[in-house]
Amino acid sequence: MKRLFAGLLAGLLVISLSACGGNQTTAPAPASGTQPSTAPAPAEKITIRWLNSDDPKVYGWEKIYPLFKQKHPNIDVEIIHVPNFRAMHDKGKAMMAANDAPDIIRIDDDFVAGYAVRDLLLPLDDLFTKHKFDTKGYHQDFRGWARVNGKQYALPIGMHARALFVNEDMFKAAGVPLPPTKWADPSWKWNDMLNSAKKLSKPDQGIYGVSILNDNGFEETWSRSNGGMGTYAKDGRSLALADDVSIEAYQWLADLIHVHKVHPPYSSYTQMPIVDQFVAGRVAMFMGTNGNINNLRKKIGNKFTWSIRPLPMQKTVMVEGSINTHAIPKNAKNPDAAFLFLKFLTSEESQKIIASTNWAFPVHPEWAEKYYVQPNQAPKNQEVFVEGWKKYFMPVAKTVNDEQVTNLYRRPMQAAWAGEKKVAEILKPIKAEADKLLKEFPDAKLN
Amino acid sequence: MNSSPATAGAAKTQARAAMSALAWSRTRDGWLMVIVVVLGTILFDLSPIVMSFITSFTDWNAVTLPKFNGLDNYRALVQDKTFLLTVKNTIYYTAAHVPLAMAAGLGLALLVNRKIRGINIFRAAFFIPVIASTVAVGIIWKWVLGGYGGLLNSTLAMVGIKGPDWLASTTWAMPAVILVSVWQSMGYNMIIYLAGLQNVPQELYEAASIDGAGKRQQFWKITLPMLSPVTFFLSIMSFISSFQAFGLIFMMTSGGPANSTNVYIYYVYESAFSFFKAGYASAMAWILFVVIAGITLIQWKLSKRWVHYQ
Repeated sequence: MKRLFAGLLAGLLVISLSACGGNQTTAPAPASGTQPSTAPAPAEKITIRWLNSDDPKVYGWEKIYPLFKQKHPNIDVEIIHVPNFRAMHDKGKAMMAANDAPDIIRIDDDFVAGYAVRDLLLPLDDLFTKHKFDTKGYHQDFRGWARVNGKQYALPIGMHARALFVNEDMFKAAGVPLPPTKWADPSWKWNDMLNSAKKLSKPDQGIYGVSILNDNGFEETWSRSNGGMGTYAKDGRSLALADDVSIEAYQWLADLIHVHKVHPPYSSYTQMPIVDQFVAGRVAMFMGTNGNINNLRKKIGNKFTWSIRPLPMQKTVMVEGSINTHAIPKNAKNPDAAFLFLKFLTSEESQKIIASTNWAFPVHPEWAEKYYVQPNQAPKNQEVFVEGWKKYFMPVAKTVNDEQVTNLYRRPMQAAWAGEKKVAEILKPIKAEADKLLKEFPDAKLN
Repeated sequence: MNSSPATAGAAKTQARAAMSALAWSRTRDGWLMVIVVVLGTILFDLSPIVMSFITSFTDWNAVTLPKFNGLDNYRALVQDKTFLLTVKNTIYYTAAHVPLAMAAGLGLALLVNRKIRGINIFRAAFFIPVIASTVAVGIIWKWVLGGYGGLLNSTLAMVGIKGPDWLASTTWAMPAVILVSVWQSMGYNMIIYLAGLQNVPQELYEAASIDGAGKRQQFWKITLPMLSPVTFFLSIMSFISSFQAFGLIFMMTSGGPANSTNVYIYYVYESAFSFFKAGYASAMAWILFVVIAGITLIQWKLSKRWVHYQ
């Protein structure tokens, strides 16, 4: 009898524990309702979770958050910071699959369409209306860019442009003239940059004149600069970087490493990030976004003089932009509170703080004029970023399978960066498979 | 006093009934004791396995509702070049890792199978990589093997050797990962082999010595055959774990360079969590299960020819 009782008790314990187990099975999560919940009553305390790969310190979070709390004292924001962008997305997807989606996820231009066509994001149009969100004055690409099938799926909080970061002291020491300060200067083309880099490089000492491959933005920038379409065709349905002009551009970059020896080995970035190589004086100039400025400012201090210069152009002028964008997952638990937070991040008082860190351009171009340039702080020539962004900024075409397609070509391209194969040998055979992936969801209206 | 057949029959029936009641009581109590484990196994082990099998016949992004697509996932795998490449890489990895890790484990076991002071310190030191975090191991070895100022190449440079960019070379990346994984797992093999060595009867060695057998002969004719059950066990476990290699590759190479270290489970992970293809990943997982089960069965069948039990 005692044993029977003990067995029954054990059984009850198991059943009660498994009832508390929550998300233990791999059963698919039911699709969430499509209507956003009603706004919370003022007294209701809500914590929203924001999955982000940016370090909050670089964009003035410590100033922004208190201002938000003044306006919305009942909403707390918890940042889930995953430094690696791709790893952050893997985590976000796993959270969504476990029905534990964050309330806001950083998406960026690369991934909006892929998430939207798979019905993973909440369209924001109703929230715009409900919370009287005024889109007047936003950058021209803002609405068009994050719209899929006629619906708005994400909200940018800033935009990053690309340019060259230059160690002026290294140029002076080598007796090399500095690059110009205006974009589309005819005296600054690819070979001009190459010639400067040759004079700056001492490869036997691990010192290189230029680094471009540290930033995947070269895929779009170098192809377009050479007259190509960039990574994808304008409609996002075929791979353009397998075109001859793009292949020529990438082979030119690979030759910087193995033929001219003016560029660090591709593998060096995993051991020493480019920012650290630049700070250590191992690289005289590198391509980066304005998102690097704050970090460099802290690391360089007064070690040397550094400035911003335009990227060299070949046939056309183009600045690839990354749009720092955030979306609300469809099964987020607090969509209204999440939207109020995003709305605040795009308000002038927030954008002024973000702009003052130089981390990103504000989503209103006029605010960039007012707030972006910090004349009393390094680097010199910050207006080069502003000119590039205003005149030559181009976002990448939206696609439905960006992650899988980039994986298809980026990994094999490592053989080109390692000097083991030519770019054409790698990219030409990949095009058919990439195009097949890009043609999924044929009815989706992307661009 | 004689009892009648009817009375004897009734007594037998009564005795049988009493025995059945006792047996039932014991069976019932036994089941009640194991019900916790049984329910847990069904809920947390068997249900996900069944769900993943069903999922392998769907097109599912892991979030919204899945769509049944029959055998499409399995058909697509046969034509997927990346999948076929990961199969090839996994075979390469397994073919190198298993014999090397077992040989290294046996070698270490022979070295530490001595009764000398302080030998336990060495045994513990060789075992530490086994219990170290794979993430930490991956990060440290990535630094050691870095071609750009890594510890190994800097050391080689001191003696005038220019080492390759280990993890950036399509030729050297997989051997580098294999060597790190052997380093991490040989301690485990050492412990198992050590236990086996200490169970080999000393009389066999004494008898062999008397018959004039040297150390080498004793190793090949006594030690190895007597260790065959251990070798059999380790070979099965090593095959299974090699086919599921993931952690070190994730940390050290992310499948690169140029897919040269992209192995089966890494592709399963990417398909499920990066490419929105949980159904496709499930199909891959089931194919792997069938392959591993098949290889294990073959090993069992072949074991009768070379495994000697005492």
